[in-house]
Amino acid sequence: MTLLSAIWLASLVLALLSVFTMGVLVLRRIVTDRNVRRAEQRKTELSALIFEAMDRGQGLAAGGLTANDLDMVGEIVSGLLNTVAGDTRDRLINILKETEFKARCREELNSPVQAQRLKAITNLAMFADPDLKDDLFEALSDPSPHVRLAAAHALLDLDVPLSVADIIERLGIGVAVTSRNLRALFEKLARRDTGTVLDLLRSADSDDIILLAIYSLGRAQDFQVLPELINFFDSPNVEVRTEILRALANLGHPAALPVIQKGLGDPAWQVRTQAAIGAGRIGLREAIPDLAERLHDGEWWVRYRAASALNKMGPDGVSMLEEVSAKSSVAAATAQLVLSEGSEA
Amino acid sequence: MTADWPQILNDIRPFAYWAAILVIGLGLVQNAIYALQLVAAYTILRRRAPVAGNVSAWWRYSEGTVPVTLLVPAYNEEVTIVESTRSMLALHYPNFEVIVINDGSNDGTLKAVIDAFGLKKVHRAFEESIETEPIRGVYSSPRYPKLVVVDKVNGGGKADALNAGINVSRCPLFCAVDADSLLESDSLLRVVQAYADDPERVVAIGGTIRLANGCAVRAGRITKINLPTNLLAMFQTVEYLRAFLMGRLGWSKVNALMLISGAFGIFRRDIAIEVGGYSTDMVGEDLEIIIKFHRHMREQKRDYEIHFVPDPVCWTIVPEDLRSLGIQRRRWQRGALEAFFKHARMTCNPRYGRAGVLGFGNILIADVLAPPVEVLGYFLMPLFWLTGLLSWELFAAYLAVTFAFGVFISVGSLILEEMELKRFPRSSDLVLLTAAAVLENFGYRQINNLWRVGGWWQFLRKAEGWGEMTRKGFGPT
Repeated sequence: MTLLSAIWLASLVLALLSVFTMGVLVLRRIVTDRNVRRAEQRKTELSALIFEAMDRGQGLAAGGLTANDLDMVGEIVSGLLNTVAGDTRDRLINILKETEFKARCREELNSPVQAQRLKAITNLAMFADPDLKDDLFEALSDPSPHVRLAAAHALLDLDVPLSVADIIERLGIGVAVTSRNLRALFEKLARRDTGTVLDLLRSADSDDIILLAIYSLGRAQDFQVLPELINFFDSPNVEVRTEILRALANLGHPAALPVIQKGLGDPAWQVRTQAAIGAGRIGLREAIPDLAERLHDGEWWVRYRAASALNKMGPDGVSMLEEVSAKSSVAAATAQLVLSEGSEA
Repeated sequence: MTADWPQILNDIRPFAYWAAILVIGLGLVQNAIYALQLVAAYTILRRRAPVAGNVSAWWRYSEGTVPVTLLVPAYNEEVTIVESTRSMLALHYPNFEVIVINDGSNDGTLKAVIDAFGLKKVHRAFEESIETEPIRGVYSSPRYPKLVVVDKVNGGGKADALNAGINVSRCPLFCAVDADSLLESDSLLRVVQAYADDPERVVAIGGTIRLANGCAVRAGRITKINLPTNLLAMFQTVEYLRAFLMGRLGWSKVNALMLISGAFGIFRRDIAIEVGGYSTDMVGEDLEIIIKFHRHMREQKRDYEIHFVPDPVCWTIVPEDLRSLGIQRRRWQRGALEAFFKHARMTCNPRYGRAGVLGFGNILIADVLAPPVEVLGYFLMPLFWLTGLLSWELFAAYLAVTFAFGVFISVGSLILEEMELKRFPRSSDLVLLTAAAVLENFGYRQINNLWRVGGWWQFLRKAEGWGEMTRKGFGPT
């Protein structure tokens, strides 16, 4: 057979094979569609049973239900748990405990499919059951960074003490995991134990970890962190200086004034912008002259944020804006825009 | 004097042979690329971790989100603008704003949106980071705090409207959406996840476009997924499936994705400004901005990724008549050629990494060379075979690359869809789509290539403008 004949034959075989495969898939779909319709009907009946049980404040009469039914109950209840809180949530969890749902999720932690393991962790976390600690610890060594991150979240929600060093190593922070979801994890950590995250900030040797620590300390609602954050403002890294100003703005303490003033004169425009935002959020009237100076900044965002900050400072800031807006300059243009924006708000 | 036909045929025999080799060779290369894309797409889909349902997606993804501006350029979109704006305002996303940019429409687009949302003219401070046609006014309403409407002078096309939106936007990410499109409620949440997973490197993300023709729409939402009843739209369903599920997913796996649809794509605002925004002197601005992203990041030696995520879906209406479809396809072809020749130095240039070698190499084969070569084959190959200039084997190989491999690739992407995504609700849909996947190779594909050659011709004549297309609104409720 020549190459040309082989091309012709191969194309015909592939085309026919693909159409045949599609035919098989259509047949499979016909069968699964029928099963899905039946399952949906059964789910409706089971949903009614679940709501009835919740209304009575009693458990589900699980005796008459098949293993398949219990699986469905697990699915329905886990879906509902995402939308309710308080007593209703507790009652739903009690119903879930009557089923084999938890055991099944535990089994799925060993599934070769990452999506299944991730789903299992999310479902297990809903039980808030200390018995699950060992399973979740084991999941911290999962090959998938998404599963490891979900397990760390679940452990923290269970109030299990986790060492920061352990989290960093197991999650591969800065190497395998760069997700923004890490921030939420460290925020939880900092709220629980500010000292540990402060230690991390002092000992960190990577900018990724420093940024993570600053971010979480800024949301720790603990003013003890202020001196340490202020000390770190000497960092040569623009992102670190910007993150510190963001954290100080979140904390909202007037002790941030010297750093904000320093930030307003920073060579990097991102830092100046963030300093202006911070001054406005904390309401630092002492920074009004520095903000007025920034209205002449070469960067539009700095001018805009400085004008917005002045607009938030009350009569002193607004009169400064009005004074500048009466003249003719780039500063005046920004001041006029922010004043007109403010009057429409 | 009579012509010596046997001699003439003999003289052109070598030409016929080499023409056949060119057509078959190019077809084989293209089909090999498609087959590799099919395999790459399959491996990605197998490994992804889908989250079913809106509520679960919210719990899983909302913590890691960042503010996003939806940019909706609108030129004479009176029919669809209110419905699509409502759909965007109802998105499930923690922090976003919608900026509708009326590009000096000469129908009632601006009035429709002002009346529907009770907007008033306001002042909004913004920097002209990218030069655009003047902005006549900015409108908003306290009743819809997430909505901003920008009214600008017409000029510079959709690209200029998007640039004006980028200027007015204040979020780190923007999402370019067509005004005649509907986003699924959790699509923003899902598409931004790729950025949240790696905010340092991810600079742009594309989502899937699906056809709303035939679907039931209510209050800016698709309430029932139906296949189109129009044959042209049905062929386009298969075409979009192949392009998005197989093509884009495959290219994104090797970071050589060269096109994010203008109907639905997320971009980092700072990088878009660094590259000077969308180019206003060409019609393929959505292709060109991605090329500019690749080029800029490579020239700056910065580590970056451009992703495609198959789950988030944007619904759009496609043309259902030959005239409108022809205009659209000629314009797409012209856009691809303009972008290719503007950045031709990237072609197979190792300095631009995979984007240059693979991505641009593919544009050269699929968009620059393939249409004229394939069309040439339609006329010459049967003629050469009938006149005995071509052997049956060569002619059979030609039929293989033009028709049979096409069936395999089209049905293959449908198999992938059914195995991994199952987004078509009924088994009867699958039967119809399989028939369309086979039939599109016998007529539709050839017409499409003729339009693309028309696009080539327009490019050579330096034609300008988008051409007038008839707009069809979303289906009845």
